[in-house]
Amino acid sequence: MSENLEKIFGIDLGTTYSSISYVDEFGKALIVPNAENQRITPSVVFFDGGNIVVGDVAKESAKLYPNEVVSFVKRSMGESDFFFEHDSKEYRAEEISSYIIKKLVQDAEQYLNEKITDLVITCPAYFGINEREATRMAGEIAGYNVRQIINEPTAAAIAYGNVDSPGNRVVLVYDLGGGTFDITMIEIRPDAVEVICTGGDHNLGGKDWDDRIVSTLVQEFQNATGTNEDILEDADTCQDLQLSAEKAKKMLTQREKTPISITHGGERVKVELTRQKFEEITQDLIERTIVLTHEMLEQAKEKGYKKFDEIILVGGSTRMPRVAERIQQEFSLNPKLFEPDEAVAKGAAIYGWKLSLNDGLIKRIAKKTSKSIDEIYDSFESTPEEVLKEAVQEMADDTGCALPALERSMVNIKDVASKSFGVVVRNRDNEELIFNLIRRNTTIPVDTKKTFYTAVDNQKTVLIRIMENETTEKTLPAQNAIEIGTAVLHLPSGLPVDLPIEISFKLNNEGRLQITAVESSASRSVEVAVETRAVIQGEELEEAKARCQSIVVH
Amino acid sequence: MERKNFYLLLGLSLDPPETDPQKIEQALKKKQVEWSRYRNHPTKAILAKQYIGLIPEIRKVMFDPRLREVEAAEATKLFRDKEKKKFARIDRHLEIHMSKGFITDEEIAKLAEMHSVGESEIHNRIKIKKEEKFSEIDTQLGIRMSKGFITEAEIDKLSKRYSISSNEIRTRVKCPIRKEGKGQTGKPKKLDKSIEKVINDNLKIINKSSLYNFLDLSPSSSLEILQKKAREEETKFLKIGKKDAIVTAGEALAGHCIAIFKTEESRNAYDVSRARSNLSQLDTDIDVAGMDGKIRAEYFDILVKSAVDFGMDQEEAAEYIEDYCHKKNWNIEKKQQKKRFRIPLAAALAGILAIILVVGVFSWLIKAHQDKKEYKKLLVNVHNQKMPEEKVIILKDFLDSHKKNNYASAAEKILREIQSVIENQEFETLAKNADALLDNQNYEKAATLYRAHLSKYPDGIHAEEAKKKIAAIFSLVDDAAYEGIKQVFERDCEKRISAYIGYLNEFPRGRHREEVRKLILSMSEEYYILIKKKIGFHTQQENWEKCIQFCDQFIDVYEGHARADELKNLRDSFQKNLRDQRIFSHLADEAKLKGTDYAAAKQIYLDYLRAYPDTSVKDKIENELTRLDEIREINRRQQEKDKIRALLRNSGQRFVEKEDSVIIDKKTGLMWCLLDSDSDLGEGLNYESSIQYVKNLTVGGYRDWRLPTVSELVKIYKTPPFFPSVQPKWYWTSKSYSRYADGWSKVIDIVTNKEETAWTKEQADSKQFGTVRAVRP
Repeated sequence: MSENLEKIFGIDLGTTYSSISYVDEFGKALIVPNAENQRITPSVVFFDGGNIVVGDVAKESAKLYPNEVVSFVKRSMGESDFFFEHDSKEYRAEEISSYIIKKLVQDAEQYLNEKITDLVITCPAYFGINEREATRMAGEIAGYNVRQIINEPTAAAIAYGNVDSPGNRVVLVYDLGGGTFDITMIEIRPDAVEVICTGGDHNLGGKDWDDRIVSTLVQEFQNATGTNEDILEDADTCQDLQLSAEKAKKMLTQREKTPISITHGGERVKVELTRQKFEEITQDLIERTIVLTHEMLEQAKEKGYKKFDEIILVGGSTRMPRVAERIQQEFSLNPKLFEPDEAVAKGAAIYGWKLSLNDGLIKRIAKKTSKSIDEIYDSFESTPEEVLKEAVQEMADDTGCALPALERSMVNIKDVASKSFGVVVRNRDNEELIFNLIRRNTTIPVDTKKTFYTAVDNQKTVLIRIMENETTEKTLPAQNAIEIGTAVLHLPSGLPVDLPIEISFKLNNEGRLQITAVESSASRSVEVAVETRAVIQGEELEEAKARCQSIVVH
Repeated sequence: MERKNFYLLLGLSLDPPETDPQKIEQALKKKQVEWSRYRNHPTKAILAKQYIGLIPEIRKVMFDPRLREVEAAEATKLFRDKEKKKFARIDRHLEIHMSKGFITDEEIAKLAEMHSVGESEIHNRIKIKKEEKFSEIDTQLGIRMSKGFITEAEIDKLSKRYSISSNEIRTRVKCPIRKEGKGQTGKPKKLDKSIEKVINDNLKIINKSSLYNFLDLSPSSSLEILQKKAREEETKFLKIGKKDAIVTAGEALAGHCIAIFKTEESRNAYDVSRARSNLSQLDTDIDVAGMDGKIRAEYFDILVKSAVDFGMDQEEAAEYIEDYCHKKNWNIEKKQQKKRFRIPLAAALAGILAIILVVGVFSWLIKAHQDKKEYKKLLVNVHNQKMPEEKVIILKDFLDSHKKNNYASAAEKILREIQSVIENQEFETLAKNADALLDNQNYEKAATLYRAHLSKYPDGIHAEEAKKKIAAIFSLVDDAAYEGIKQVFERDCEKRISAYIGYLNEFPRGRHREEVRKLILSMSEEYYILIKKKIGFHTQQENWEKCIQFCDQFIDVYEGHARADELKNLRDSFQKNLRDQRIFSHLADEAKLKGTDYAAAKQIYLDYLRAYPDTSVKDKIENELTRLDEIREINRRQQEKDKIRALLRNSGQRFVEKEDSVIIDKKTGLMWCLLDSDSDLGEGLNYESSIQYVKNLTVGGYRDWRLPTVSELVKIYKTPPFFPSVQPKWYWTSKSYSRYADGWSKVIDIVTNKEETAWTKEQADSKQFGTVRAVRP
């Protein structure tokens, strides 16, 4: 072994649990347990005075210090007005997430006894630009190179495709996690994993099931004690009930009923929750996943995919027996539960491994063909097969990796845009509407251009409002989209009305958006950096980074 | 959806409105922390999300002095309710007409004229009323249908109650109709309470009353339609990119609709729950009744009655209440069998009187012959007299005139004997009469008889007996009174307590004093609640004297009790209120003396407020200040109107005031507002406010005022005879242009009121302040 392959770790940054994974020299993805020897770490952060505690200890502390503990922070990623206050300091969702990442990486470093620098982090396919950017920032605040942000269902499909590949098949990935639901159609071929269509709701997940139990418990407590008090006003009780609810939910995946005790204000009430009751009070939630699935299938049809071969279930919440039951009932297809807690992290690790192999291959091909690395990057696909094979063999020799593993890593991965992106324009009746340049579910990377015109003589500025939305239509009313950024193009004076302005949108593999505007008369071009308040940046970002470096996460 | 007022949402001071940006920022930060914390709360998450989503707008409004001022004004306005009053009257009149089941066009026309509103407005109200009535009927039907069927009799009853044909009701019934209510099959299933709560919380956020309302479908729609619409809604919400609280709630609700409107059974469960939720008011009633952990029998009856008013039948109502109390662990007291009150027969009176009358021969030796002779004569006389009283007189005469007679002592003895016979006789009659009186429970008179006897014969043979009698009667009275107070006033707490106190006053040494005191103590809480209720009522009336009086009443009885101390504090505050009330009426009198000098009148209040900023009549004073401002404003407006009216009279026949404050232009037929916005409000309006202004304008009973077009304004200001003007102004028109040039802006065509026939078109920026001359139709 003359050279160590650069290791890129995969992180599943989940709403309720997170995990970290890497690929060993046989091309096999492995989960690294944390310091408490658990394969998944609760995504809970406890501000214990000057210390930051992440994981199980933090989760248990929630009962005692409900106001010092943050959970479900993923649901607030990209929300500009969310912040957690501790010791009169304000923490945004990104920074809190960075502590979770730091905990995962630190524990893995200790376990493997090596330094970790590069990460691939996953996010729900349904995340928009702001949420993705926030996820990337979380990794950077923690002090690591975030090589790529990839979609959770894509990661799950990569892991699935990596395990056994009996040929071409279209797979539906039903990913019901702690806080989000993603439904994705993916075509898996021996040489490629290609996302066809994606949909979901990033506010629908296991937590909603828990919340239903909590509501029921409150009701039972009121019935038993005859009060009308909202016991959730009490932060301790509220935390306690949430933990009990989660435990009860897990219990009900195995058993038909479970006892729960509710303690509040010195009174203790014991209740029994049956699986039947649990399924009754959460029926609407399941139904929503079904509606969302059909919605996605409709769009897949437009792309010519009318059927699928199998359904795989990932995400911890798919362990609820009702999920598989309902899917079976709806699609008459037996869904497969596929490593619900680990598939995503493993897929991310495999993706990372592929990235680092690619770097190595390109270096070697460049040497063989005496071309520059950039040239190879641009024309990788057209590399002659022999050259490629030679390079792979060389890699295997140099790094000690198994050859079949390397060959398997040559799989091509293609994803789609999970949102539509457009700009605000005015029509003839002077009404504001959105013109979509990139439409949802188009394969990425994608690059589109469109020419617009100025409104008045001597116009000095052009305001570009970049809008994110959910429809696949070309235009839509302005109120149905959210503004994710603005850019201003400055024009010289004295230009006539109706001056053409060409705007181009480029969405890369990671779902990052790049915008260019060109005033065609003078070819005056602006690279538009999408500026947004929704994600941490500037001084605040530097402060957060500094803070994270100086803090030890336990 | 109406958004929350930011002043109220942030809990900022309104009086005066908080304007310090630092303080506002602080309040906002505090709320932001709170909302962020609630962001994942099991039940409050969506609301928290909604508030977090509002933050950018809060910043925009609260840090812009002008917008903030508007916000503050609105917040203040929310406290007062000006709206609706007019409609309340129309509604009342409509109700009278509609009680016969229909309303004629003629009646509508008359009502429209009477309230000076358009007929369409009345039609509108009728529609609303009808809808209200039907929704009430639906609720009532829902309650009855919850047992799985509905009876003919119930339909008839409803039809009578709402004066609507039974057929019309039948069309709204969604379950089998039976002749009789027999054969009731098990209880219908209800929706899980927690789900119901989740649904209701979400409905609140989206401002809808029910899932049907959410889907915009009638409750009688079929399952297929409901299901289809639910899926459409879900898809609709999915398409919206901005996932704010409303969208999140909407998605959740669509999910519930899909689950609930899947089967008739689950839908029925929802309907039942919905109907039952109307009973929450009843629940509060029960809660009040059960305050001391049990339901008194008489409360139970009242509760059943009000439950029946909610549409249950007697049995159902009783069952519902029992069920509710059972859950709360409250006992329902059974009705007590009334004890028959019987006075035990009075104890027998004293022993039989000896009736020994020996009037006759006394063989007595007579010391002296004369004496003997006279004495004999006396004896004969005495013997001859039948009435003992007469005998006494004769004997007394004898004793007076024959003091030295040897037989004087003998005569005295006879006298004494006869006298005691009389006394015995009297006592005997008295005892008989007294017994009769006692039998009739006339204790007082019986006692008086004995007392009279005692004063007549203070040392008489029966004195002791009479005293005993009196004491016996006293305890009888005591017992009777005690029994009385214990039984007679059971129902009425107030009567009861006054009976108890009455007893204590009447029988300061009564045998049942301790028991009565205990009774009084045992009802302290009940009496406290009663007194508090009365105080509550009089507090509303601001009748502080009464309030104090009630406090005193309680304190008198329960001096030293914890509740008494509580009421003492309350009394102190009432006394302060009373003082302030007197001061306020004094201020009002003084202000009245100022007549139309409103500024001086206001000054009186303001001076007082400055001196006593914490007075309890602050609200009243502020109301009075607002009222004065309003009066002044009305006067100002009246003057403006008079000015224009004077000008109108000199402007020929073109412009005529048709109705109050509405000018009709005979040339065009258009109606114009007599006052423009400037004269109406006393301030200029930017374009956005102008649009709001005309939208909310109600003049002459018309509500369809709008901004005039350029040509409409030109017709009155640039075409003679001109519309009269008091001072030069310019008016907004409905024609606006938006454009982007170094930022988005909007310009609007305007027209001046300068009287000229040649004119050039002018424009103003939407942020400038101009005037509106509203026009219709």
